[in-house]
Amino acid sequence: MFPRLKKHTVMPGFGMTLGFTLFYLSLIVLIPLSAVFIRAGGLSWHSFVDVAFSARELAAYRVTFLASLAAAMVNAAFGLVLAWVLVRYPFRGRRVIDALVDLPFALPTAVAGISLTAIYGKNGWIGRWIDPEGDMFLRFLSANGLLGDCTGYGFAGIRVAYTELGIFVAMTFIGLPFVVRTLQPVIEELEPEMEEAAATLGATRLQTLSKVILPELMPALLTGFALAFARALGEYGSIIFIAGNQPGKTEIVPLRILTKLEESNASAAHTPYAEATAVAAIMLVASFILLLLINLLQKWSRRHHAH
Amino acid sequence: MSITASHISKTFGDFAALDKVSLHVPAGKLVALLGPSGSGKTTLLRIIAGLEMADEGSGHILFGNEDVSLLPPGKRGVGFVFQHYALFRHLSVAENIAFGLRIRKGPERPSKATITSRVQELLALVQLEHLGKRYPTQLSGGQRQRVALARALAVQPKVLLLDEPFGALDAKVRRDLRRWLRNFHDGIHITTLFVTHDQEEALEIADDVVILNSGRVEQVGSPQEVYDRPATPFVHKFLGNVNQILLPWEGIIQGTKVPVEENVAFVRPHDIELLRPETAQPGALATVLDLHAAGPIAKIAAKRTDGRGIIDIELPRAYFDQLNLREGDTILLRARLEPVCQTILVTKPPMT
Ligand SMILES: Nc1ncnc2c1ncn2[C@@H]1O[C@H](COP(=O)(O)OP(=O)(O)O)[C@@H](O)[C@H]1O
Ligand SMILES: [Mg+2]
Repeated sequence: MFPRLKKHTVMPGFGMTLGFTLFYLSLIVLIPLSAVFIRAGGLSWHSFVDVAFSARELAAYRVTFLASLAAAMVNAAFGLVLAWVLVRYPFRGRRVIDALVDLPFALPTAVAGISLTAIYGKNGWIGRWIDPEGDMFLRFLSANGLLGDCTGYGFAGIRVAYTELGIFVAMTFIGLPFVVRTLQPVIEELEPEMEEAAATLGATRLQTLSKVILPELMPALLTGFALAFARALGEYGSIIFIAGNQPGKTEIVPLRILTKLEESNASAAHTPYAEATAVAAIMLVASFILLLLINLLQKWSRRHHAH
Repeated sequence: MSITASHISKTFGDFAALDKVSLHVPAGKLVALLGPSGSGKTTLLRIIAGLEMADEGSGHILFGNEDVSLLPPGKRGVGFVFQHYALFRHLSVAENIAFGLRIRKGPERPSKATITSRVQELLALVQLEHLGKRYPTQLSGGQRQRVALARALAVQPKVLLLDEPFGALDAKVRRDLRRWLRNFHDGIHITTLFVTHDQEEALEIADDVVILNSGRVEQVGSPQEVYDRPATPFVHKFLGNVNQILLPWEGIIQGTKVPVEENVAFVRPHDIELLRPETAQPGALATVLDLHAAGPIAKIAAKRTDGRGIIDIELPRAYFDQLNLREGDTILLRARLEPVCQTILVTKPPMT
């Protein structure tokens, strides 16, 4: 056997960098996370289940995960279109729109929450046209309004503020930049020649899209989806304004954690803090599993892109 | 099937990339479209493929007798090979080659077994039998380009269009592949238009060469014709090294006078005879500036004693050794052949 030669790399010592990475990761991520489990571990198994899986908590998990998933999917679809347009079509005002994409990043979440509530509330710009109690809706679009007078039919109206839909809207708003910003550089790199090659081989536009462009963009699209999803799961600030926070209906998990902490009526057996961490632990595990799944999916779709 | 382009113009904004270009590729031939970078080669090739539209009302593209000017690329029956391969990265080599067949619909779509055997055939044709399962990123540049060629051929195109197919490869691989392409073409005889900016490549493999400059055709002919009898000063300069010898008199081109300072004769370095001044024959005296004798050809730069420029000379090595020249030596130069200056008519024979 030949002696194994030490491979030289530009960056100094692998050992040292690995050590630093682990130390840093522990300090910033792992230790706080483990605190969640340790504190939640203070509960007996029985009371853990009681606390973490009460009907109110289950409703919160459900609305949080479903709304996040829906928001991430909508963001993936529209983010893809938006990124495509921003990269491929030079139009007037493109730079302005491009800058606007970052707004949900930059805006304090409370500001976003208040604005969204104001817009979608029954007196808001959009709300008054679609909310069942909005003045414009009643006047024009409802069965009793102009539309109803003319046709005999009317729309039922959609309430956004203080409903699950509001949660979804807020999550969509704050998740948008992730998909757009992950896709943009990848679309920029996508050679137009690849589409032209498909065209000369007889592919229709739809075939070029589904068999060439989408597969090429899939890894980045999944990354963007995962980021938007994770962001939606963790969002608090903007949602509590628009959600209405009705128990068992529009309470999101982060809010449950906070309220558990503040509830002083916890039974003597365990502290409010332990109860809050129990919910947090469930949230943590579920998010982790989901992100792991997305990661595996991403790895699988990226399998041929190794250079 | 032959390719005919007639009077094709293309402007980008107010820049004319092609100006009434016409070109003909006889059925089964390999024709090179040669020109410096920016001369409009890619634009013309893309117009022939239908990837770009010529200016409205500017001309026609015919395959055989069929006018394809208005057909989309997928309906023209062209195989197009891009300079940077443009392979689908998410598909294996075999899947890349099968792409054009798999996307067909209805009865036009061959059965799975047919596609598999066709892909195997094509892999064998481009000598990549064992690499069908690889992905494009796992191949070398030359291999990728052959996959691109196989992918283009899979749909049995009427004509093959290659845009600088070896442009991104290194010199050795380029030379091997260009011979390979010539042999390959001799085997399948598909009408091929081949774009390159490398004159050596064009002259070596093409049946005919079309020389393009600034969006206009300068000359069309066999490699030997264009090399030996360049039609324009541009072609002269573009195909190999050439000395431009300023003539001390006025010339005439197509009835118009050419002033003294623009009247040039072209002589290739290997067409210059080098004599000892003692021989006292007619010619121009010059002083040796520079000698390069590495390789089979010796290269000499000499400065004319009458001050009218520097002349490059190429000699066979054996003859050069015999002359035993030094820098600073005085030599006598004259053109072996009548200098090629058909387009720039001279009123008296030069360099006598
Ligand atoms: N899409 C385009 N828009 C504007 N100018 C272009 C475009 N495509 C090519 N050109 C110009 O047309 C000229 C010819 O280009 P091209 O056909 O690519 O040359 P070649 O392939 O011979 O190098 C170049 O000057 C190039 O800048
Ligand atoms: Mg080009």
